[in-house]
Amino acid sequence: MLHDILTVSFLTAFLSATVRLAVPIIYGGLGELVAEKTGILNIGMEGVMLSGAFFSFAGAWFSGSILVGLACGILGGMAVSMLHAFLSIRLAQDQTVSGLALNLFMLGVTSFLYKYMSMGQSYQKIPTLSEIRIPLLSRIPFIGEAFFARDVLTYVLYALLILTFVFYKKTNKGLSFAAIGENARAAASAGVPVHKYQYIAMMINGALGGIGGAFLVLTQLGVFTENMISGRGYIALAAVILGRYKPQGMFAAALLFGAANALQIRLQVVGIGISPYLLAILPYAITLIALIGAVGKRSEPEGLAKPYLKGAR
Amino acid sequence: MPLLTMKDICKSFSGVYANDHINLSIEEGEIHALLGENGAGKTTLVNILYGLYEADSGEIFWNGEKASFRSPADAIRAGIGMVQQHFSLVRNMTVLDNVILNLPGNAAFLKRKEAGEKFARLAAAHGLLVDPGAVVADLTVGEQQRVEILKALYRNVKLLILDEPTAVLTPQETVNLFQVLRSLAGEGYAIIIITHRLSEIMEVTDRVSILRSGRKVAELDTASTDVHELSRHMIGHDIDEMPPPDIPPREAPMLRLDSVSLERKRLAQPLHDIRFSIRKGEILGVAGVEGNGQKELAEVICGIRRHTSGTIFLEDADISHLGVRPRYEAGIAYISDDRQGDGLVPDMNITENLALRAYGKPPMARHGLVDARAMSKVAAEKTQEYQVLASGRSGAATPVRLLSGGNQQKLIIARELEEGGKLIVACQPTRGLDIGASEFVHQKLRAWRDAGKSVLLISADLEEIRMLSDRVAVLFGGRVVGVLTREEASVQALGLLMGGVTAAAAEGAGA
Repeated sequence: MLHDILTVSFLTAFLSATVRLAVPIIYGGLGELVAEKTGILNIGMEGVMLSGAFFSFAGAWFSGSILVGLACGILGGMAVSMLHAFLSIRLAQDQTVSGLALNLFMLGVTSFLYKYMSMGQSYQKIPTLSEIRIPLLSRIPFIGEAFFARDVLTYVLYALLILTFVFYKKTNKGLSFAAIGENARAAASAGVPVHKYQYIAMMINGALGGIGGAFLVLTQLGVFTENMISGRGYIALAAVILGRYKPQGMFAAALLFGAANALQIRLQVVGIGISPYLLAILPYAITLIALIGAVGKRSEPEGLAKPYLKGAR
Repeated sequence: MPLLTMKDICKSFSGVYANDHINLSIEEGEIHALLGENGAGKTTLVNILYGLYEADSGEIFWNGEKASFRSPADAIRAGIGMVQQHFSLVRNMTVLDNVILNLPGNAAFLKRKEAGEKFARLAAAHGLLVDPGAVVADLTVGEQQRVEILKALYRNVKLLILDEPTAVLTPQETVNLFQVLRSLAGEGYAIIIITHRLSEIMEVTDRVSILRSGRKVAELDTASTDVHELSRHMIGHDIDEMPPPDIPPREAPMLRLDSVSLERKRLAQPLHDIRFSIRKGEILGVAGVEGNGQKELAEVICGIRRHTSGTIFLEDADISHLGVRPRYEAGIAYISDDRQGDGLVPDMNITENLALRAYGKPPMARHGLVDARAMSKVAAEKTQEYQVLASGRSGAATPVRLLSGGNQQKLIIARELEEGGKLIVACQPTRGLDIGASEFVHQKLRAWRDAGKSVLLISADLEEIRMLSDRVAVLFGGRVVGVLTREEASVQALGLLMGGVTAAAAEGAGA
């Protein structure tokens, strides 16, 4: 069996699948990271991504344009995030409850709208984004194929990751955004407009989550199916924790999850004598084990999920 | 022309005036004290100035021009900095990042190197030494305060407000702080310092404004007043000098610790071989620099931590293996030094907090179910007896986090001083309290002692220890390095022991 796995073609395909499966999680994770850095915990990321997936499909279907589809996906994600933002910033509601409620709500909403839209017919696939091979880089053995023979959304993601890293590490605004999640009162007394920045962060949260969901439709599957995010939003939350609230850490954690998922698919294809149902557990088991391994130094923002009320005693 | 003038400032919270037509004016180079008991309206007034609250009415003039500060950002831009009682620092960031956070002059990309150099110059110029690269969470409270002051100075403030700056400092740190404030005033900075410690006002300020129940009752030149006049204005009467204890303690021991140790890995401060006893009708003071095992000792006696060797006796009964509740039922009560942390549940209301110890027994419980009406009745009696004042209309349903520190402390005492109690472990019982509330606590402890019960008084305040204690034990490095009688316990003798200089060590050094 081992000689089946350790072949060039297996490894190339495995790495390629790893990245492909990780991209939506990284999008969601990045959006979540930006939100949590300002103290807003959006457990509703699953719902945000589901909304992004559905509206990108609907947009692309009716307009026939992938670009319009993407824009609709972004707006769909943002709508959900702004609802959560209003509940948790303006109304200072419990963020966990709000997030969970949004997930269930969006599952219902997207399923209903999809059925309503289709009127019982079945859809054909919409066209998907094409592959763009980057010269030279895509020729690097193993890695080149996996990272540099992809679609435009994946390349945008690389840029966003680097941007986020630089933003928090080097910029004035980045410091302010990070300070809010740590201690909103301290940030406010340094003159940071806490609520405004939290709303901005939640808009980014929605846009990125929306793209994460749209990615599944617009580059991978070309169709929408009910509950198609199937837990990726939650895995994105785990990736943020596992990555210790750093973009590079979250990226690595999401790749780990992608790898676990890719591995179980590959192993099923190779056909080893383990039940496919057991193999399907692998990514989640690895996530749990990794979280246990990450126990120790607390890295989450100190003010996470604590509403900031101006003038409260 | 004064730097700052506040005119007829009014502010009320749920119908109660926190500030009632207050006037205040500050000159450059002046250190001005706002004096008053907890709840007198000092913090409300400076919060209005700093843009954290909005005044209901009144005007603020800054540099002679009418100003309105709608947020701290406005105040900072104008040149007003504030060091709040609970620091506004981001604990997981470095000192430098805290200082340059959201500076108006910051470029889009931070220039940490330049900022670090400016910070170092500023720190050196004012004798406020602190490592800019250190993470705030790793600093002592005194160092964090220096960061707060530097943060304000870095923003080129002209007026610096300090809210209870010495409440958290050691005596040595307080001396340093006052030197810094004096030199800042010498350079032309105006300083408002909020305090209720009279000695500090006499030591460091130029003028004093005294607030009582939201009104300004006097403004005095420090040079031409004294502590008696100040306290008369502040609490409306002179401080009652307390008589020395006259009833001698009985011989029978109440509590005895026999070679008690608490030695575990990763323990901040272990305890080694603690031996002492408290007699009935005695207050035993425990002096020592904070962090030398005081909290651990209190928790070992109350059963919150289990000691690792030795024996604890309460009236000759071995209680070593009892947990917190059986020890409480045996008569050990506890006033924690951390009111909000483990003394009270801040988000629960007064009634519930009063029931925390005895909710499971009659009268509060019947047939294993809590009786809400009985709980309310107990709460009503106790808030009456202990004069716990809840602001607003909600009364006993007020969450205790909204109470002032003094009222929170009264609540803890009302709960812990039960009739069946025998020993109270009082850990920093008057920390952060004003004179009136402190007096109240002292009276209660004395009354408890005079009833033939015992008190273990752990305090960082030597004056308090010497005023109340029949005997004083000194903790150093988790050991009791000496037990002095009331007569022996001079400030010098205690000071030496607190520094770890025991009689034996002094002789050894002399020989």
